[in-house]
Amino acid sequence: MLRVEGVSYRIDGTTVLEEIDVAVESGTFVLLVGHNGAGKTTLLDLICGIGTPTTGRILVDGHDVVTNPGPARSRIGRVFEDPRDQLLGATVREDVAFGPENLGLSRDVITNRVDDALSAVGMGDAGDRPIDSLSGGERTRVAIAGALAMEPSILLLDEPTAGLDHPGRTRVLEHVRRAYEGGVGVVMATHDLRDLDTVTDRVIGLEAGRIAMDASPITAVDHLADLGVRVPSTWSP
Amino acid sequence: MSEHQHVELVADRTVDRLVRVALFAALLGVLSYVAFPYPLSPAPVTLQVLGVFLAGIFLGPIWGAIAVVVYLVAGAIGLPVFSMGQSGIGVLLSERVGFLVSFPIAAAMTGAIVHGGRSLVDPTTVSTLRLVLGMTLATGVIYLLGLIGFMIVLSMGPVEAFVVAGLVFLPAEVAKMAGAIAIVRSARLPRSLIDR
Amino acid sequence: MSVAYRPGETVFHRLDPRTKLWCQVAIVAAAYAYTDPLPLVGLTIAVLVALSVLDLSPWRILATMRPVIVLLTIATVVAGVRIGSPWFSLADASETGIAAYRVLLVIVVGFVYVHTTPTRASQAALQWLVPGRIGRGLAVSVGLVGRFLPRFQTTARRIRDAMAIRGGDRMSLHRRIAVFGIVVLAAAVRDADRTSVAMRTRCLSWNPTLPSLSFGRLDYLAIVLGLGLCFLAIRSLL
Repeated sequence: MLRVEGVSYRIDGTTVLEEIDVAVESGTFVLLVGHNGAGKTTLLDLICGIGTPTTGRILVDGHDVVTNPGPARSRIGRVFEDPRDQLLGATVREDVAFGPENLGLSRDVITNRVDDALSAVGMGDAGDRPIDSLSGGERTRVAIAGALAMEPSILLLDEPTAGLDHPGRTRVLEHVRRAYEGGVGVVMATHDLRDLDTVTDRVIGLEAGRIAMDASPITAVDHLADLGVRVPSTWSP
Repeated sequence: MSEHQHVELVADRTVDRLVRVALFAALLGVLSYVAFPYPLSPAPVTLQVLGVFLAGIFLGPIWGAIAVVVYLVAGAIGLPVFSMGQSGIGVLLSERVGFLVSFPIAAAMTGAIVHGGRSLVDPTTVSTLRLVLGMTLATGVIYLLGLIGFMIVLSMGPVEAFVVAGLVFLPAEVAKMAGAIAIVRSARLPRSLIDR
Repeated sequence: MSVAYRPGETVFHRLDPRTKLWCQVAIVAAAYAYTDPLPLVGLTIAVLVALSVLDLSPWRILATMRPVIVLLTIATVVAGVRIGSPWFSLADASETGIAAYRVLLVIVVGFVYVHTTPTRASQAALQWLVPGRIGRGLAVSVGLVGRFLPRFQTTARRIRDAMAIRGGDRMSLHRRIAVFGIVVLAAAVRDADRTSVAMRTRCLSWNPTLPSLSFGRLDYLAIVLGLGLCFLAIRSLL
């Protein structure tokens, strides 16, 4: 599970995040919403131990992400806003193996994890494809597979559906949902709430670096417009 | 989860460094692929040397040279980074061997003169004179070793080698130096490139 | 299109990358050590056989090498030119011409490796060749170069097109270089900074599980062949 305790983050005199408290249990699905520049990506970075909070601390399964980054990061899966930033292998299989290889796991374990992760995102047959041949949606799915191959207890996604067409979007969400049903805690930063009503357990709204809302998807509806998020007409949690 | 215990993470600063090295090696590769039409030249004029200058200017003598070595290794094992997207040990050991081998030295030289030693300064604050001096000496080394390579590999005399591989290409280097200075002085320079 | 890695099942694909690196060095050493034409005929035949095994057309390969061929041809002509009678020395031209031909063969020998060896195998060979953290750092950086290249190239093409549309071709050469360079650099730094974050998040470590490399019978044969070539090269120099 993830605990963000009293985290503030200031850089060059500007406050990016102020007094953030969040706890995400495994098996919960949390949406992180807010205007551009509200601090969503910075928060996700800090959770990964990228940058040190000015005050407060962040624990992943009890490991402090700053003082003990090894065990903490190995329990986090992250999908970046532009998955091209994180795809580090030349082929799909090589990329998904990147995390497990760096954890020093045995060849057999790595092979199993890669196979499982690829079939979990519906790309079991695509292992040998070059990364550069993938479509946008496929890139996101490979990035999710790469995260799942770490067997994380928490999965962080930054706008995973931005720029995808409808079928690509549906498929990405389906595979995120499946990971969530498998017991992983999910934090998804997004502007696009379509099709998320049935999975979301909580909605956290950031505004100018502060938590402006932390509510169930039903009560969140009234505040979403203020946070720059359009509520889909079909929203019925 | 005891299987993770012995993992020795690469320190964050070191990851940043490796990524920077790869960034300038790849940039050098892209610039080697960019051919500018140039009236006198028998072969296309690429921006390869600009990449060497930039590595020295922004990474300093040591990491700049390392970035260029990474570029050479990447090209040797088959990434399309040598001029016109070619690669392989054969290209590395072709008539161009002198030029390619001179690049790490040239990057180190540019870096050493621009930064005035091993500790790095903000390159945007360095005087134009220093930049020009660094790049001119680097260009000298590049052509000296490059032409020696031509002479040895192709059994040519120094004048012949200069006619084939120096004469028409040298004036283009001046444009690349001017370009490098304009880049250093540009307001659009990404801040994270200077901050460290 | 330049020569690049293509998956396959040929003899050359099956050889260990370390063997292939060693053999290339041996062949190039031997090619440079011998200056008379006869060994070059042998190397030509070997190269043609290798290309046919790989199903690569020699003409297509030559086409990818056009700028080099032009340069080498000019070099051959210039080497023969004399100032004053007889104005042209056939002997000098043919000496450089043979050397130029040898360079072409050497380049194609490198292509055989490039065509048959994925970056990952080369990275593993590098990490074996250069032990410890230096080797690991080298392998990681080379892998990153492979990831960055296509992205930066796309950016570079986009910027060239954008400059052309907005009349950039009327700018002076050094202004054009500066505008192009700064935009490519800015985009590259953004990509690289995010990739650095991603590498840390994905637990880049000094002691990963390395891909396994192993020598087969074919490798030992090739290594002995390489030793033979090296012996010949050294003997001709003594």
